[in-house]
Amino acid sequence: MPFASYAFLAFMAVLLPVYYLAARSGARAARLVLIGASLVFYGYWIPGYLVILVGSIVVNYTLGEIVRARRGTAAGQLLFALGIAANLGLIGWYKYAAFIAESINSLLGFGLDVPHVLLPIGISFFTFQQVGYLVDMSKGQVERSRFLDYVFFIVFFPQLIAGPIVTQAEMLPQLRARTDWRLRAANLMPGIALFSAGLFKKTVLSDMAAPYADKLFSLAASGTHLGPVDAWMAAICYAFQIYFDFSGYSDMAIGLGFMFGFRLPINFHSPYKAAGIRDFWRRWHITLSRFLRDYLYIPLGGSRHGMPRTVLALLGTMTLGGLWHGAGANFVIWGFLHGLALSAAHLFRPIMPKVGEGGPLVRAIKRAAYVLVTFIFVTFSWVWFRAPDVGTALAMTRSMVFAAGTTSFVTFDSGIYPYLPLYFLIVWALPNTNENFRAHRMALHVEMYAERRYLWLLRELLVFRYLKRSVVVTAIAFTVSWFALSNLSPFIYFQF
Amino acid sequence: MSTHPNHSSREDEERESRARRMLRLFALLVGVTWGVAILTNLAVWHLAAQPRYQSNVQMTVGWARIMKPILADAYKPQIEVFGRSWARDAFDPETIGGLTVKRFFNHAVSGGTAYENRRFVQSQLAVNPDLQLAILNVNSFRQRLDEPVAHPGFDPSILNTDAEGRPQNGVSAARAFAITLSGASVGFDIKFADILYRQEVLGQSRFETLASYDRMDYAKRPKVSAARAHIIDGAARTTAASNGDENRLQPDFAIAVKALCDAHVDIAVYETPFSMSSDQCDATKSQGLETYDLIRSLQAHCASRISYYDFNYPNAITMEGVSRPTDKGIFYRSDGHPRPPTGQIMFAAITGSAMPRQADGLQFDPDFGIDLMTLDRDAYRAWAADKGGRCMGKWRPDDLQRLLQSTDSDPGQ
Repeated sequence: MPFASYAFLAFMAVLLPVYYLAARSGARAARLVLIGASLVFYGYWIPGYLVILVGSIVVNYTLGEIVRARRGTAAGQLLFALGIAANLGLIGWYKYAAFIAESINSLLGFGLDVPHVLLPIGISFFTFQQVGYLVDMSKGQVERSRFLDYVFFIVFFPQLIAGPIVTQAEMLPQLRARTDWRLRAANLMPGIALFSAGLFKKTVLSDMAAPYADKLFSLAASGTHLGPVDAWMAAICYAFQIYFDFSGYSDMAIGLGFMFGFRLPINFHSPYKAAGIRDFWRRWHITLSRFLRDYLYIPLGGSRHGMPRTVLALLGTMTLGGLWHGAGANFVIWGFLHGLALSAAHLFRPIMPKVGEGGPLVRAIKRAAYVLVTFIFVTFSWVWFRAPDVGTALAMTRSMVFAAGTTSFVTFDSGIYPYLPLYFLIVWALPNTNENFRAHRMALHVEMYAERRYLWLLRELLVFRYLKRSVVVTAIAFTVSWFALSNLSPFIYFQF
Repeated sequence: MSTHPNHSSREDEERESRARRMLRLFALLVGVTWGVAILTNLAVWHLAAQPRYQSNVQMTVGWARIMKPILADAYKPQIEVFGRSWARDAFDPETIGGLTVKRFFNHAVSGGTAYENRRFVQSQLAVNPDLQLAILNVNSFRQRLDEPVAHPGFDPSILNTDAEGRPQNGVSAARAFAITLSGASVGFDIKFADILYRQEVLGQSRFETLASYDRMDYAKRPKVSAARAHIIDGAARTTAASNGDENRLQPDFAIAVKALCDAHVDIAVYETPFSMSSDQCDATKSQGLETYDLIRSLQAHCASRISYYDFNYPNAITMEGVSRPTDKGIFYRSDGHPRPPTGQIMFAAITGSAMPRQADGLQFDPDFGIDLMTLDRDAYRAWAADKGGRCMGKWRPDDLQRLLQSTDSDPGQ
C-alpha cells in the first residue's frame, strides 16, 4: 500500500483511533495493533506474500536464537552461514532468477526456462534488516528480545517496504525501553507535518517532473534519436523526480514512525548539495550506504589494505549495489560508474583542492564548483538507472556527451522549464526537512548532520514550530497533496 | 528538551498541550478546505453535466478516466465512442451533432488501454439500455505485452461492473468521493473553468480553446518528402514501414464485443487513419486480417451487427501534407492525432450520414469507408493488398490521379 494513496490515508484514519483505544488499555494491545496493521498494510497488495514475510521472520528469529545459543561453536558458524545463504537465496530467487536465466540463455545459448516471478514488495528491505540482525547476533551484539519485539522490528509499516533499513540496535532498544504506548499530540503534530511535507514532495514536486522524464525516456526507448537538449532534459527531469520521490518517501516514513512514538534513522539529507561523490553517498539513501559499507565494503577489504584493494572493494560494493536496485545490466553499469567515481575520488583526494581551505569567497566558489560537478555526474549516471535497457542508455549517453542525435524532431514540451529554477532552488539553497524539524528530533542520528546557516526569513517560514503559521503551512501542504493524489506514479523505491 | 519522544516532564506536558491546540487547528483548517472544495466541485459538476458543455467536457485532456464513466451514465448516449486519444480528439460531440439526432458521447481517454476500454464498455452497458451503436477504435485494443494494463487515474471502484463484468457494490460512494474530494475533481474543475472562462468571458471559440483543434504544421515534419517519395513516387524503402506490428489485439476486444452483442448493441470497429507524413505506412495489413477474421468469428454468435472500417491507408485524409503541400493541417493535430473534421468524415462513413463540408473537394476512392465485413475473405485480402500496396507506391493510375486532384478547402477550423 503506497503512502501516497487514498487507500493509505483511509488506513491511517482507521488505525489512529483503533490504536488510540488499544494503547489506553496497555502496551501489549498497542503493540499487537501495530503489528496487525503492518501485516494488513503489507498484505493489501498481494495477501499471499504475507506467507513469505511471516515465514522469513520466523526462520530468522529462530536461527538467531540458535546462533546466540551456539555462538563461538562450529555449529553456530554453520547455522549463521546457512541463514545468510537462505536470506540471499530468497532475494536471489525472487529478484534475480529471471535475469540470471536470461543472461545465461543469451550469453551461452542455453534454453533455460525463464521463471516469471512477481517480486514481493519490500523483500530487499526486510531481508537486509534480518541479514544485519543475524550478523550482529553472530558478533554477540544483540540483547535478548521477545519474539513480538522482533516481529515489530521487521514489520513496523513505516519502514517495511522501502526503508529506511533499520538496524536491531536502533529499534529493539526503543521497544525494550518503551512503557507508555499512548498516542501523544506532541508526536502526532510534528509527525503529521513531516508526513505532509513528504506527501507534498511526492505528489506535487516529483510527479510534476515525472511525465517529462517518462515521455523522453519512452521516446528514446522507442528508437527516436533525442537531441542533446532533450537527452539532458530527460536526465535532469528524472534527477528531480527520483530526488523528490525518495526524499518524500523518507519524510513520510519518519513522520509516520514518530506519530506512534518511534524514531527511524535519517535516510536522506540534501544529496544534491553534496560537494563530491563520497559526500553524495553519505546523503543519498543513507541507511543503504551504511548497510553496504558495513556488510560489503568493509568485509571486502575497505580502505585499510592499500589503494588497489580499496578500489576493488569500491567497485565490487557499488556494482553489487547497482544490481540490488534492479536485475538488469543497466543497473550494474550505473553501480559500476559510481564505483569508478568513488575510486577516482579516493585516488585523487590527496591532490584535489580542499573545499574548506581559503577565504570565504574562495571556499564558496570551490564548494559551488564541486557541487555542480557532482550534480552533473549524478544526473548523467541516472540515465543508466532510468533507461529500460543498455541500448537506450547508450543512445542517450551519446546524445549527452557527443551531442549526437541532432536529427531529433522531438518537440519537447517546454511546460517544465519555468519550474526548473524552483527545483534547483529547493535542492541547492533551501533547508531540508531534517533541518526544518531538527528541534523535534524525529529521526535517529539527525544531530550528526550539521545544521547549515540560512537566512532568517527562510528559518521563520520553514522551520516547524508549535505556531499557527507552521500548522497553516502543514494544512496547505496536506490539502494540496490530497488533491494532487490523482494520476500518481508509484514510488520508485518500492520496486527494489 | 526531552531526548525521547515518550519522556515525560513539565516541559513535555506544556508541549503536549500546545500540540493538542495545533492538532485542533490543523483539523479545522483541513475540514474547512474540504468543505469549500466539496461545494465548488459540486457546482462545477452541475455545469459540466449540461449538454451545451459536452464538447468542452468530452474533449478535455486529463481526468477523463474518472469523469467520463460518471458523465456517460448520466447522459445515457445512444451512440458512444470508445478508444484512446486518437478517438478522443477526433469526435467532437458538437460537430457530430450536425450529423445525427441521436445522443452521442465520446468516451475515449488519453492512452486508453484494451483493459480500460473493455471495463468502460461493460460499465456503461450495465446502466444504459438506450445504447444503440458502439464505435470501437480497434487500435486502442492493440498493445505490446510490456504495456501497462491500466494507467494511473483509472479507478475501477467507480465502474458499475467488476473485472468479470458483474455488478459491483460501493459504486455510489466511490463516485461521490471522486466528484467531491478527489484530486481528479479539482484538476477537472480547474481545466473546465479555464476553458469556460476563455469561451464565456474572453469570447474565444472552441477551436481556440480545445486542444483537439490544434493543427499540424507539415512544414515542420521532416519525413514528408520521404513519405512522398515512397508512397507516390514508389522509391524503395530501406527500412520496414508499419504502424506498430508488435502490437497485438488483446482478448479484451472480444470480451467487449461479446458484451455489446449480448446487449443487442450494434458495433462499428474502425482503424485510426494515421497521417502518412511520418512515413509510417502499414503495407502488410496483417493486423487488419487478424481483426477481420476475429470479427467474422464473433459475428457468427452475435445478434447485432458488427461492421469494420479501415481508414488507415494512403487516401485523401491521411495523405494531407504529403500529396499536396500545406502548412496548416485540417485533418491532424501537430502530434498526429486526427482532428474533429477527420472524425466527422469517419462518423459519416460509419453511420451513412451525408459527408460534412470538410470533405468538399476531397476525391475519395469509390470504396472509401466501406464496411469491410460486407466483403468475403478473399475480397478483403484483395482490398487490403491494394491499399497496402500504396505504401510502396503501387497505385492504380485512376486512384493516384484522383488523390492528386483532391483539394482540401480550409473551412477555418
